[in-house]
Amino acid sequence: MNLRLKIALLLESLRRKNLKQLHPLRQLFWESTLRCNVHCLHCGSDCVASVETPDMPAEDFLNVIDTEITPHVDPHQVLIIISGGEPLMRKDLADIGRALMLRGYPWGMVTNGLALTETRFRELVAAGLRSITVSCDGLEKDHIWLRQHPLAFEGATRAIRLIADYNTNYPAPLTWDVVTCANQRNIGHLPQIREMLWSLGVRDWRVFGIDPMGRAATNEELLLTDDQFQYLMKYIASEREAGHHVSYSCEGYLGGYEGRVRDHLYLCAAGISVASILIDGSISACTSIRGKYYQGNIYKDSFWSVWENGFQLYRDRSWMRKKEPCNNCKAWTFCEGNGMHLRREDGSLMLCHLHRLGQKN
Amino acid sequence: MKKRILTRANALIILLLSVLGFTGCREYLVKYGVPEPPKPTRVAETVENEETQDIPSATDQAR
Repeated sequence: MNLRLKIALLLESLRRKNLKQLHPLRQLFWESTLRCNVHCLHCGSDCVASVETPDMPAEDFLNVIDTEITPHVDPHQVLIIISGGEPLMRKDLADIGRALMLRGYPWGMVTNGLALTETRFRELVAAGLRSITVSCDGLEKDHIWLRQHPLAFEGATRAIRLIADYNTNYPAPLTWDVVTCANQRNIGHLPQIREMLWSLGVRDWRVFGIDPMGRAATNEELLLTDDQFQYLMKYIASEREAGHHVSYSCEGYLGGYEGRVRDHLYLCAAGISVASILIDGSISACTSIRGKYYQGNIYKDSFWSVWENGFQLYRDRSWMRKKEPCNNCKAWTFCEGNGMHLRREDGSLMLCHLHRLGQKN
Repeated sequence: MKKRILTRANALIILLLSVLGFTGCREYLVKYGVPEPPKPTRVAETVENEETQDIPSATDQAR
């Protein structure tokens, strides 16, 4: 690691320390439904109870927005991400979006695109949609395999074309990108996938690896080997050097690859600037964080009180340093225990990206 | 007061990072942390359209 990067990482650790004290709420995820129209092999949620679990009523969520959040924030500075399941399964999605827009909140969503018709897309844009991510997990055959739906690829590419066309022709462009889950089947096709995506109009492509959780925990075909992960980093760095905006996702401290495969230096913002309201009302940070780390429930607790006074496990992560492999790690100052979503219920770490890269700081 | 100091300190750090060539922290804040607010005119148009029940296409409104 060169001196310039080391200084930058030290500065970033100072910024993180300040941010923990400030903890400005900037992103709020809402797990609005567990229903989904595909059955992905890698789904991070277990989705076992999705049929039985009812959607959270929109009024419950909006009540939290009105009584707990709006009095304390500038709505323009808080991005609400409606997640699932598949958010398009909710027929009232545009109504909810419009309600958020009228309150001054920008909102976004992540979708598999299958249910995103042109009419629906226009309806959502009119309802204030500002940010959208489409999942596309490879070339047609691999995408259909991972999504377990014969029309999944057609749906994703249709959605991509719709958004690309909108951004080309209209003056208020959406912030959008495509996200791809790198796995054993598609890792060898990354250059072809990028070419395919660029031909559809994509200019921002985010790639992530699968973590051993949810359905992926028992499917070895999904998890990258250390060699494949290292190849992924080299590939992303080379694409960025060639001027293509390809990024690795936000998770994981990446040592010498910091500053080379993402726009920003590593920061796990869970509980620092990111919160979530889950389907049962639980208050958490990123939606994939284990249940032990939930901080309250909107049906029992004041969201704002929890945000202000809870989340101590997130804002003081020194407890992570007592566990392997962090206890003797020289990268602690820069990494601080890796992503919060990678902590098991017992506090142990599922995955160390630095180890995968074979690096020591 | 403390909040203001911390906020300014972080703005300074972002500036220093930019000098070092790590401009992404600022871009990250703009892209994900401080998104562009909805356009007031679009909000007004939507309300007006709802009242008149004459809803043009979304792209027309955005235009």
